[in-house]
Amino acid sequence: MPSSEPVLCDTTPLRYFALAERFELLVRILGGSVRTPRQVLDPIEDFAVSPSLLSEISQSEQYWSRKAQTPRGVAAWNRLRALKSCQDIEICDLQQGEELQRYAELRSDDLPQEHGLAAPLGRSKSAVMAIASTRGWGVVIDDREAHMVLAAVSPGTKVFTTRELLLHGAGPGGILTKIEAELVYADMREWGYRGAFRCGIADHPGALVVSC
Amino acid sequence: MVSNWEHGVRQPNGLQLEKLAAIYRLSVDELVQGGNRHRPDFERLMFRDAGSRLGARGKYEIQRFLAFLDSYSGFLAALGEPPGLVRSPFSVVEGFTSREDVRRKAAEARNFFALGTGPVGDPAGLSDLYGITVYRVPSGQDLKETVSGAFLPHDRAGFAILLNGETTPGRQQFTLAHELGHALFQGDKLYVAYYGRREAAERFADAFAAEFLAPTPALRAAVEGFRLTKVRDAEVVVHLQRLFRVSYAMMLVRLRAAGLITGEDLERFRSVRPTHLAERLGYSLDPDESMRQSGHWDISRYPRRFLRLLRSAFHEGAITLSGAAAMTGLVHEDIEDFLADEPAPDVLGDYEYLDAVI
Repeated sequence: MPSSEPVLCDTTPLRYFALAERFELLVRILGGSVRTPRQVLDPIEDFAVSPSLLSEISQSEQYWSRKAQTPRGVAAWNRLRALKSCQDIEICDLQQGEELQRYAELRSDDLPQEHGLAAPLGRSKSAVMAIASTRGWGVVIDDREAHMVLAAVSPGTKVFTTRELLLHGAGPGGILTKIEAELVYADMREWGYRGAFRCGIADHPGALVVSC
Repeated sequence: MVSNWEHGVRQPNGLQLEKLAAIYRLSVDELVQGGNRHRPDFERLMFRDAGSRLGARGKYEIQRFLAFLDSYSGFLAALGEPPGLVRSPFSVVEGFTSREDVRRKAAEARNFFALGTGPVGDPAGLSDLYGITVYRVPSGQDLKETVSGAFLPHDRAGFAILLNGETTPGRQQFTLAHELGHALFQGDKLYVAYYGRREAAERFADAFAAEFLAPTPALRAAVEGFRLTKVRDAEVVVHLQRLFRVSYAMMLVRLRAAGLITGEDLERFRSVRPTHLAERLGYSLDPDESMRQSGHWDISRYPRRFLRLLRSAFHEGAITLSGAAAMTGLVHEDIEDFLADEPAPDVLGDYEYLDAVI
């Protein structure tokens, strides 16, 4: 496990470990359970609401269901749908009080301007950040803007990326070999994963320069 | 559930708050913290005259349009980009709305767009070039309970047109030209094209749209080109309709107004099935011509300038995929399809830096 504290996942790690058909790796890397907010994955979702209000995994599911005339589309759809019945996922709801307050602040119309962003943070990232920063948990988020905001509003929160989780899994005493990790990574890329921002944007203030 | 909230037994969770915020078009922040920032109440203005002429779906799409304009204006500001057109280049003076005046104004508009007298082609593209935002919505085909279009002079994003993209292409072309009429001549107010509206401003915009899309001199020249004095054959109507890219029904009205068909022929032509005839004449039909089905609406709803800016902002690193998804409310994968031209780095690599980050 990359952190002694619990770690809360944003949509990207769930989506791409699932699409690469290696979700069990994510579970193992995170110590047996994947925590995520309901904005990322809602197992009891009402599909009658506007698509823009669905959890992000359900939105992805809908995208792939539209492509279900191809084997690839069917595979993706099934792999994402399976997350809803996965016993290894723990759904974390925003608690009343400080968490909800922080979530509201992160969803504020003023936030982009305050942090120099061109666009707002999404629901899932705001929920991950609000819960984790209040409970003292770590987060797995790949988005650069979310990292910037988190560094400003909760500098103590440990932040990991999907790529770092894979690297950790292939590290000393890890659960997969480097070659296996590369294969999983290649599969993720094949499904559209673009890598964490830390890889490739070296001039970002918080970036760790790595060779890619 | 709501009763529990009211009595303080339970409180709404984050998702429920998002849904409430969407209903009331507030940010979650405003909903939780109370208060409301001062801004023009476009929603009230747009819904003011709706009565029973706007169903839930139409309302939702208008709300989404307004929310988009708010975030678009923030996006423009963040990128240091100016808003779109903010003032009408022309105006309508009371007493100058006769048929001749409208014809003259349509000619002025055509000069403004450097169009000459030929077919307009793509009014959405023209609008975009001249700083008028065109946002398409899938708000239904029954115009008795939805809108075909609206014009809104947004305080921060500039002139904006909402266009119901579920009507026929000919109808959309007419609606867009109608809203352009408001933008070019009446840009100080908001106008919503509810079913059956016949106010003077709406009548002007209708007349303008007809003359702008198919100017009388150009129409007469085209008929002359067929070596005809009167159009007696529905085939010619279809050819003209296709030439000017307007609906068959509108071409009939234009031909009648220009005295190029008789009343008797007008009635006869009305019984023709124009798409069937067009197909027989060798025209390829747009799939949308037999009414666009409510289906998947993704990136196609957004204004072209916004999409250009979004792509360049993404490629310059000013916005991430997630940010773009959050701003548009679209699914991550749809945004990925639109924005991402390059794959991710091709190797995981660099295991040594693990200690630094974990």
